[in-house]
Amino acid sequence: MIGRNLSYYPGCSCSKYGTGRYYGSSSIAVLKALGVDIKEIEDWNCCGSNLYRVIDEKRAYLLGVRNIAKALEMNLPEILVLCPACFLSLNRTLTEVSTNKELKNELKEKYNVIGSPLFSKLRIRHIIDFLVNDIGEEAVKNRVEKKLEGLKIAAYYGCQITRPYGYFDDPEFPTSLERIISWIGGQPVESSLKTKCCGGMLMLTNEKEVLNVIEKILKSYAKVGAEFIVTACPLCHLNLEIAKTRLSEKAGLDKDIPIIYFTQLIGFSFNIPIEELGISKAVAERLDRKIALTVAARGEVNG
Amino acid sequence: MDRKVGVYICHCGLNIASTVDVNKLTEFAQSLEGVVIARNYPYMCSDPGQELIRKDIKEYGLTNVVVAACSPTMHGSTFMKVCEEAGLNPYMFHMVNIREHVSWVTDNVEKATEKAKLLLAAAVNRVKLHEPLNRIHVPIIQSVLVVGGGITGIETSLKLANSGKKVYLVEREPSIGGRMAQLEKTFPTLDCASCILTPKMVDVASHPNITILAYSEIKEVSGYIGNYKVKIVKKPRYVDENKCIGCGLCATKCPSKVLDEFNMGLSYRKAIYIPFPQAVPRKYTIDREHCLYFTKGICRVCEKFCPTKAINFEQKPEEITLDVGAVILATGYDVFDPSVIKRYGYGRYKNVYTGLEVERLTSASGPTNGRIILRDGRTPSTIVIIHCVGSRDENYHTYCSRVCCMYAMKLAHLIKERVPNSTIYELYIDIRAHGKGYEEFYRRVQEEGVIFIRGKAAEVTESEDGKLIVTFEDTLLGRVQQIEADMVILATALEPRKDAKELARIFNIPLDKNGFFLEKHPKLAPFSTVNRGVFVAGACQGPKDIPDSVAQGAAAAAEALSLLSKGMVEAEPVIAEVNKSLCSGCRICISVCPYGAALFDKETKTAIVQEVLCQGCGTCVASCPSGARTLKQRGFMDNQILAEIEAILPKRTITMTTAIAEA
Amino acid sequence: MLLINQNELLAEGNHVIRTAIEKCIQCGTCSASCPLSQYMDYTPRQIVTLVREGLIHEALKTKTIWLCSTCYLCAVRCPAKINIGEFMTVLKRFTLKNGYSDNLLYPKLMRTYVEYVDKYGRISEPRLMIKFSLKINPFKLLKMLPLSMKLLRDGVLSFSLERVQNLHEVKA
Repeated sequence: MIGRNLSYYPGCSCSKYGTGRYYGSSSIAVLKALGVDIKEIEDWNCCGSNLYRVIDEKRAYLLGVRNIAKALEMNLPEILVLCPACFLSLNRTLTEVSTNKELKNELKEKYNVIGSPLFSKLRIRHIIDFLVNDIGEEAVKNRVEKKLEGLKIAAYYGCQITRPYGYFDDPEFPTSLERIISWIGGQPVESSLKTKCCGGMLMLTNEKEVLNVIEKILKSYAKVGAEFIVTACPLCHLNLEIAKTRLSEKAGLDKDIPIIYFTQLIGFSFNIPIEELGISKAVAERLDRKIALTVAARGEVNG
Repeated sequence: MDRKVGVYICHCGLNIASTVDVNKLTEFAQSLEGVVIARNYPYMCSDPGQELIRKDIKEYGLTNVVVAACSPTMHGSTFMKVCEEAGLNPYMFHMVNIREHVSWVTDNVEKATEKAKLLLAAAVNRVKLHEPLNRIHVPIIQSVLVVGGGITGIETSLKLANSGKKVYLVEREPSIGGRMAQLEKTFPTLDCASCILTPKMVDVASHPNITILAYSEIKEVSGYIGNYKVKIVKKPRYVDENKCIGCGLCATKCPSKVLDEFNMGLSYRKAIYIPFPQAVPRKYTIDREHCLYFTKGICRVCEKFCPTKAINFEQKPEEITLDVGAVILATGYDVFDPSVIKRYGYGRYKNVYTGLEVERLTSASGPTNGRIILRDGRTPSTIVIIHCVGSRDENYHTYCSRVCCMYAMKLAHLIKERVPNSTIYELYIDIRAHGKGYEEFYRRVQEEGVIFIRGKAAEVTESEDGKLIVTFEDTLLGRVQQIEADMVILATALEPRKDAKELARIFNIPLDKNGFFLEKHPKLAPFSTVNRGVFVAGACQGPKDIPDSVAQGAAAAAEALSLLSKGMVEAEPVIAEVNKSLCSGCRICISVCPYGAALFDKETKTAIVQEVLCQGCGTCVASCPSGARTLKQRGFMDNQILAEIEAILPKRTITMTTAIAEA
Repeated sequence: MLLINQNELLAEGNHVIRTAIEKCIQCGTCSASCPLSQYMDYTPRQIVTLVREGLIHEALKTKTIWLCSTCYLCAVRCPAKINIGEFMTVLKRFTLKNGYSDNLLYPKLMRTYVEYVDKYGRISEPRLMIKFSLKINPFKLLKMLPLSMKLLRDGVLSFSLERVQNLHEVKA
């Protein structure tokens, strides 16, 4: 197979105890199934997110750089990231260090790898980018064991995957996830709000406003007849989960509409054990039932 | 020979004098060897300034003149003329740029003055080595090539033809008429576009001095000012122009339907067609890509029905070569494709239109015979027009497209006229109503009930019942608002033609940063280009409305006429020259010359320079293996350049040998 | 009233603030693109106006800057290529440095976040939420209980946290 090596930055959310742990575990399982070996960056730390940058910009960069330096020490020129917020802050750190001479010189003293030839080649890759542009259609399709036939799947990208560093797809109307959905046999349905912000951390401080925003988003998913929603961001995922219990019916959605990470869905189609993917039995049954229905319906038509 | 140099320092108002100490500079000039008189004056280019120089040349018997002022591109020729008028060979003059190169780049008076001194000393050193040169005279061919048959090209052609010059009007499409033919009415006077354009098209067709080469493209250009040789490819219409009487029977019988580009794809035409009823020439054309015979080898119905047997499937592209003295480019513009701004939904939502599409809807001869009907058959009652689509936006075009505000208002007026009960909103950032009668038109449209809201639309989405929702901030209220509309019109920008770059290469002219043809000077030579026999007019030089395009078309014609009526063209003598006694005939210069000006003379077995073709670029001089004494660049001789360098770097003695050794 | 001039703000985030001041054409694309602008007291465009006109203290006291979730929709749409999201980030930082807004929720959340990162090198979202909720409104925790139980059951929620081993590297 591919045999590509990348370093892997899980970030707090997608690591062992984070809320997005199954985003992490399913991604690792899916990549393994595709023959890609990812090596977790040792002893990584917080990416120096936007939250941190508000308090202390310089230190946020220093946090980010430590991860980059550790990845470079592994002699791997690509860092795979899942969490869009980490993707954004590592990219910003890389841009800042590459363009801010003063900072670069300061960091060169601390980390030998900064300013090395490998550093100038370094790329921060989002898993969507990697799956669509490096692994590609054929490899994914070849690995599918259970086609998700008849499933109306809607992707929710959230904001920061493609903004402002989304060089692998359109910042407002990306199509990568829809392509992946169709590769695994699903029927992608598109909401016009698929890259509108979920409110992010404001859920904790401005709950009412954020729930209103999410209600609009959920309505747009109901409008296009989404039966399953896939996400690519731990924070979006959590916010949708929180909002779902209260708003699904109001928005015209099934109150139990499964919201899962897109990597979980890929893993499901690869027939990876659901425990490894973190898919609940209820969701797995629902997926299977729906597929069986489609297959049966087709049989009737043909018969 | 004893040299007597006069030095003239210009203040350029305060442009130079506020940064360069002109009195000190004058004193310094006076002290230079060979300088007999040095003066400064507020505006050296003015009449009294010029007179100063003329008087001195005669009074002091000056052999050389140095002017320290602005760029020689700006006023070099002015002062050369002054010298000539006073009886001095104009090439005994040299100009120093102490404005762009000195005063405009610093505020430091002391350093600026120092730099000006060095440059001036260099110029004086060099000018003393100048030799008189004589201009070359070549006769001018008394015909003009006009590229582009829109309103600008038409106006230009008529002006030239009426002055007795022969005009070749080349148009890429099957008919002349251009964009204006697609318009219903024109702002601000609301003249019917066809009514004022069609008579001019007919005039062009019937003018004895104009040859229309429609459905033709420029392939290659060679030659030089006054003597261009242009190769044109006449694309096959597969219809014999001499036999076709334009009856249209072929089109009625043709079974192949094609989206009609003249109607912006809002209706269908046949595979054999004329673009619009008033087409000139009124000759049918077979669209090879959609013709059943060409695509599938069947049909040939048109051939059967043509009463004059004009159909000829065997027609081949025809190459025509023309000799012309001047060229006027009037190739117009393309319309910005708004589908790249995905959030406006063009191409995704069927009721989002471009301005030009709606222009066709409003046209009596358009796809709906002038009725405002949406793609789904409804008549819209709420219409939003979004301004600045693709213009004033650093993601697309930074420039203001100049005509969009006005055409957006005109469309609002026309829709209001056809659908009186409709509500029309114009979402603008700034209204640019800059022409004669334009502000009044803005008022008029507002009085007609069109609602103007200051704010740029952020996005267009679709509601559940299929209405379009336009979201924007009303910036005067400071509030985000939404309008539910039946129709959204995007006032799309004008942009350079997709092949402007290719045409610029063919005619050897530069493009500006936006991709339009670059004029020689925005104010002093807005119709000229750096290629002296090539002129530009209309929207190919930048977005322009019809009044401006027509004015520029006529002005470009005047420029070409003033060139042609000289009868002879003066070619610059600052060109390469071969010293035949030293030339070994290695032919390297011939291979590097970009203008084809260097030739091999079989008799003498040396290189020769065709004087009128040489542009004086110096490439051959640099390439000559036996050095600059063999192949010389007049006006840029080694001794002249080294004299300049010596003055600037006085501490080191540079001789020709050390310079060459170091190089 | 604390008077702040543009230069101080420029020192905080020169590039983005300068771009906004120099290039904004006041078209309102940012405001109308913002998913949260309807809850703001000033639209994002108006914040640029305030800063441009030197009314910086007024800009710093708005709700607007704290409602920006940095989704950057404004940034990718702005016809003057101003990164409004980044502009808001600089204003947030500047506000905190100048002692405004300390009693607002969002700065409290950020401070809690930073405390965690500084202490462990990483964060645990559930712990962060609890600590933050305790700071502002303990009753809120009760409201979140049913969902938390569900998430715990699904194995999504965990209160464990793996700290960074070489914490001194993070701190240095």
